[in-house]
Amino acid sequence: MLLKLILSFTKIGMIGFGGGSAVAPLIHKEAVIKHGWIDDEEFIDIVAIANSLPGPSMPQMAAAIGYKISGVIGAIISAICIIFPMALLFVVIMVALLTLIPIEFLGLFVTPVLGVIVAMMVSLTKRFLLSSLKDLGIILIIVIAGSVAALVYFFDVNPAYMILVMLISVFLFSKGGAKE
Amino acid sequence: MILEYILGVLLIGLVTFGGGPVFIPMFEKLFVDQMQIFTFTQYSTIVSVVNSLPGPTGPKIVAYGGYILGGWPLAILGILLLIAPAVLFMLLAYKSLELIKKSPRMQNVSIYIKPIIIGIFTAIIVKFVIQSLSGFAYLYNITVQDNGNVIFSIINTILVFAVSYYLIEVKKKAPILIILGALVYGFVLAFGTAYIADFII
Repeated sequence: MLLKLILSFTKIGMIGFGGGSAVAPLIHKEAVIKHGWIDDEEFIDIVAIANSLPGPSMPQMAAAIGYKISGVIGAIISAICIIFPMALLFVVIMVALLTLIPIEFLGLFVTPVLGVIVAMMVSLTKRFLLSSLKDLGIILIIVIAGSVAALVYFFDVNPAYMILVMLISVFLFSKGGAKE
Repeated sequence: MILEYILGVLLIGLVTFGGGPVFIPMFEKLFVDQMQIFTFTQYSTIVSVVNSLPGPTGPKIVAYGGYILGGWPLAILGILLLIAPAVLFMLLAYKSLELIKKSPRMQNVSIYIKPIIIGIFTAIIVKFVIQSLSGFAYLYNITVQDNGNVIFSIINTILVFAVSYYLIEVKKKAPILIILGALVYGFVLAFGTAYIADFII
């Protein structure tokens, strides 16, 4: 199991362009679709927490999944595997290859990958939207998602506050799961 | 100097929310203004390479700064200092959420987290669409030596999106193949437009 964690997170670290939440679809593909380590609900919790806490999100998401599978050891190994290979390779590239590759061209080749990230994010967002529609009305989803998107995009508001507000309002208004 | 590096990296790890691009100005303050490991121009070069390669943004910058300062040991130490507190918080928060969810009142919390994540993802999608448009416009400027062509960048952005979406949703292709394909397309496009522009002019 540890070996699978190592392979999966090393792979994600090596192909995950964009950093942070842009890598979430790749993690979803490995951890939910391919290996079934966690389900959609747990994945969403993990993304939500990683977005709310300070520090890099990639090792945070990896660590939570690793923890779920193999405890603290799994968490440490997953965080290290998603970060270290590419970060150290980056130093090698900077030191050894910078003189050989013209940097402005490096940026040009990568431009289409942005469109791939968009496609992966849209595909995952659609999946969550469809499953969310089973629980909530479309208007409520649009209102919540729309205001969160606007606050994050235009005002750089930390999602932690919105999640906190949501937790408090669920606590206040929920009549308890027993009735459902 | 080493102590300054250790404290600086630790602090950035503790106060930087959002990850990714947010790290870039933070490390500029530490490495360029405060410690003067890099000049502004050097740092701009580093950032453009960081953005062109896969993997986590913050740890890559830290690793290179640490390497310049004191070789591999400081590169590795820097990464650990940046990610260790973040991972620790993550595990604590994850545990707490599990406890919160045990309370019968909070059982359906996940139902409401979902639209929040949909919102966060939507903001990211908009950001990357704009980056893609300006990226293709920049590619056109550089290769054709002409002002950014709006139609060129819109067509390319839609084309790449449509093809990748089809491969992901319908063909269920592995992401690594689609990403490699996109890199090849970027390579061909950059040289292709440069060649055609030369040919016409």
